[in-house]
Order: sequence, then structure tokens, then C-alpha cells
Amino acid sequence: MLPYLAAQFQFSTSWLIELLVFVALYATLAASLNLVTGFGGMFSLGHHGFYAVGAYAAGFVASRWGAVDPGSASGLACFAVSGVAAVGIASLAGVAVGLPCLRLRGDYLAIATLAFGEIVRIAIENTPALEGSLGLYVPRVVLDPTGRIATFRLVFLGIGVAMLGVTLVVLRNLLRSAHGRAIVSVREDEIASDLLGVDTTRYKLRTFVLGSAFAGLVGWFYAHYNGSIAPREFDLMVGIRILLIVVLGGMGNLWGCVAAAAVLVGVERLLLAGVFGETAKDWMQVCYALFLIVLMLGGRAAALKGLRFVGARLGFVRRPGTAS
Amino acid sequence: MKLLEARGLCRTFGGLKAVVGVDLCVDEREIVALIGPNGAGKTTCFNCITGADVPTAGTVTLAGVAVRGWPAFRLAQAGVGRTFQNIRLFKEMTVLDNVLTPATSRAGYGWWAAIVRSRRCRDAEVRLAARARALLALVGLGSVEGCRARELPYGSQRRLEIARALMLEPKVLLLDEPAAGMNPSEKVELAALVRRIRDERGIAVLLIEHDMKFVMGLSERIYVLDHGEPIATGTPEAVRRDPRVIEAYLGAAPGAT
Repeated sequence: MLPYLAAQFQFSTSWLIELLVFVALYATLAASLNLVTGFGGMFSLGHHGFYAVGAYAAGFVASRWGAVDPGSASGLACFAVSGVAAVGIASLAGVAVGLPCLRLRGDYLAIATLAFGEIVRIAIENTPALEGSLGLYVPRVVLDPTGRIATFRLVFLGIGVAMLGVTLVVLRNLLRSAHGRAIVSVREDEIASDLLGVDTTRYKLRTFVLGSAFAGLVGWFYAHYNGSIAPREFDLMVGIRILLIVVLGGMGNLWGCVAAAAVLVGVERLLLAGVFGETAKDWMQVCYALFLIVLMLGGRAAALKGLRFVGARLGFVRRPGTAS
Repeated sequence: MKLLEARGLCRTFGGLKAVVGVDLCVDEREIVALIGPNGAGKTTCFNCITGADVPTAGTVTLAGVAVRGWPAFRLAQAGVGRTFQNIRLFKEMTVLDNVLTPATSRAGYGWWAAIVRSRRCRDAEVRLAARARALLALVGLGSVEGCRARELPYGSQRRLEIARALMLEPKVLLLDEPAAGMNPSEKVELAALVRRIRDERGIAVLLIEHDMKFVMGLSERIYVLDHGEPIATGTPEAVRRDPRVIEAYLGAAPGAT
């Protein structure tokens, strides 16, 4: 398979670093959604909405900061302030969505959060201050990528890995504590949890807001990495991709998200690079939907079985009795 | 002063009168039973007392404080612990984590301390784990603390619910059919456990149970409900001989009406 890949596509270091940047980005998004859905039991389809809010909050701050030299004190201050703004505004959005929506359960909560994601995207498209559907230009404040794209990507890979590391440590510590047990107990049996002294409403809201805050943090990272943000980069497909990573990695399994993010982002990037031909790109979204359906109907084991089946057809996994 | 007192408790669901004018009180260090045929309104009474449900009328006081309408988690924190008729454990959590969960409000540290895993948080976790392990030893589940709750056999799940409720350090413990599904020797052990909880920890117990041998041997006072109404109250001997109780359980004698 490898010679085939190499013939089709020229790997470059820079391309590989970008792949890893997006693995870190999606792993962080998935970890934060896992807190809400996997551990908290709140089924959210609008996580990309908070990601968008964070990205636009950071992008807006950076675009209004005034001219700065990348890497200067003012530039780094802008980087930090935009991060605080992204996390803060995404948290506020989490409170605004959580307060009314967390009364809903299961499918109803999923529909309400899905609507939130769409509202954010459409609201941005129609806001002149955020340049609408044209997209917002985010000035370079840390490093100018012109002429040294690999270095730029490497620096952001470092930031991305740090972001992922901090997220995983924070979530692991929280989940190992009394508060983490309360979060999981609400998922397990909300009524019992309530009758045993857990303020379930408060715990659900806090969990939801913390998940939103981390999604906002990832938005900040993306805005500065990409240098521009547009509403279509935060559509439902992003939300589904995050959910897919969580389900594939295991609901309530933090490390599983990282592995699943690597697999899913890796495969998708290879597809986009045209490694499997041009038509494969078009089929990607269909595959996503099918995969999600299989996951929901048959659980993780069935989905992995299906993947192996498809893998065997494509020649990734050797089938018994076939020589290669 | 009564520890737990309900006066004129009523709960109607539309036209259905589930509980009608129940007066009920539990003194400190007392074991009291609430019995009655199926559908008599016993669990509804429990739900009204623990805040799982709000009574349509009547008052509930805990140590002299009016608590009717309080949210369930506040009542639990104030000292009302309970178990459930249909076991409601946190199934995917470990046995130890099940017992630790009710201590959340008394952990003594916040989210920030948990996130940075501060000394205060670590100390509190050690202290809580020691308490939880002592409770697991009390109910005889010390050796399975690492198992998931759903993996335990039925009788152990019932005992785990008791340990979990005790983690609240309740003033009064409400047990909803604790002996259901247990064999005779398990029931004897359970009765001894309930007595130990009262004797050693000074916790009052209010229990619902269908097994008459268990109830008569354990409780000091009994309330009998039928069709949501209180029909008798008193010592086990008095209740056992009460003609209305016999009628409620066995039906009226032919020609008695």
C-alpha cells in the first residue's frame, strides 16, 4: 500500500506537521465534548457552535488590536487577550444555551444544541462586523508564516499539544475528584443522584459550561493558526466529526479520543490529499453518516467490525487466505 | 422534639388519591416501619418525605424545620438518606465510587482545587475514601470495592445502597423494601445490620417492608396504610391483632360487612 501512496502523493514534513496540528485540535474538541456527553450524559450536537464562538471572539479581538509585529510584546499580549476573550465568551454562550436547554433530555437536547450550532453559523454569516460569509482575516501576532511555513506550523504544533495536554490533565483531575463522581452519577441516574445530595442542575450546567469553555479555547487556537476564519468552517459536519471521534474513542474514555482523533483526521486528510483518488473525496461525507448510523445502532464493536470489513475490501487489512 | 414528622400528608395524581392525610413521626434512635398492601401509598409517602415528590397538602418537618418543598438534594444534605425499591445504583461506577458520591457536598473543596489537585483536595479524598471503606466493611462489601456496581449480586446491591445512603451521615435512614428478594438467612443478617446502624451510629430508621417476620422482629412502632389512608398504628403486637389490618391484608370475613 505504501508505494501506492507515495506514487500518488508527495508527503512533505510541513504536510505531516499540519496533520498533527489538526489531530491535537480535534482531540481537544473531542475531549471537551466527551466531558459533556461521555461523562455528563448530555447529548450535544452543537459543540462546533462553541468552537465557532471561541474562534470569532479571538479573531475579532485580534483584528481590532491594531497593527503589531508578529512575536512582539504587543503581539503576544494580543494572543493572550484573545484567548481569554475566546474562553470567556464561549463560556457565556454555554451558560446561555445550558440554562434553558438542560431541562431537555436525550434526543430533545440533541436537537436544541444542533439548532444552536446552526444559529451561530447563520448569525455570523449575517453580521457585518464579523465580515459575514466572506470570512474574517486574523492578523498574525505570534509568527509570520511567510517563507517559513514549516517553522510556523511546528510552533503551533507545540501550542496545540500543550493545549491538548492541559485539557486532558484538567479533565482527568476533575473526573477523579468528588465533583467528577457527581458529574458521572448524574449520567448514571439523575434521580438517585439528586436524592443523595447532588445538586444535579448545577452540576449539569457547570459541566456543560466547562465543555464549552474548552471548545472556545480550541477556536482561539484555530483562528490564530489558520489566519482566517469563515462560517462554513464551523458547519454541522464539524459537530458530527467531533461526535464521531467521541463515539469511536469511547464515551467516557479520555485517551480513546486522542487515538480516535488521530485515526479519523488522518484518514480524512489522506482522502482530501487525493491519495485514494478524486471520487473518494465526494464519498467522505456519505461514509461519515453511514459510520455514525452504524455506531449508534450497533455500538462500537459493530462499527469497528464494519471498518475492518471496508478495510479488507480496500486492501488495508489482509483477509485470511489472500496473499498479497 | 420529633426528628422527622409528617402531618396531614396528601398526594393526589389527577383524580387518584395516592396518599390521604397520613400523620407519621420518627423519634431519634427509633426503628419504625410503614406497611400496607401493594399500592397502599408507602413509596409515595417516602417520595414526599425525601423531596422526590411534593405533597399536595400537609407538612414535613425535620428536627423542627419545615422542609416541605425543599429540593431533594438539600433534604439529603440536611440528613435524610434513602434507598430505593427498584435498586438505583450508579451501575457503571465502581462500588467505592458509588459510596463516595453522596459525600460530594461535604468534600470541602471546589472545582479549582480538584482541577489543580491541591493538597486540600488530596487530603479530603484520602479522608473520604477511608470513611467509604469503613461503610463498605460495615455492610460486608469490603472486598469488592473495585467492581462495577452492576456486577454485584442482587443482595449485595441492596446492601451497597444502604452503605451509599449512610455516606450522607443521615439523621434518619429511609429503607424502601430492603429485604425484597433476599433469602431467609440474608434477611436475618440485614435485620442485624439495621439494628447495628441504629445502635452504633444513632441513626433513626423508617422502613417499608412486606416481610412480616422481618418487620415484626425489627421495628418498635408500625404504621399501616391501605388505599392511601392510615388504618392503624402502634407496637407490632397491637398492629398484628388489629381487625382493620387483618381485613386490609386478608379481606373481610364473610358476612362481616
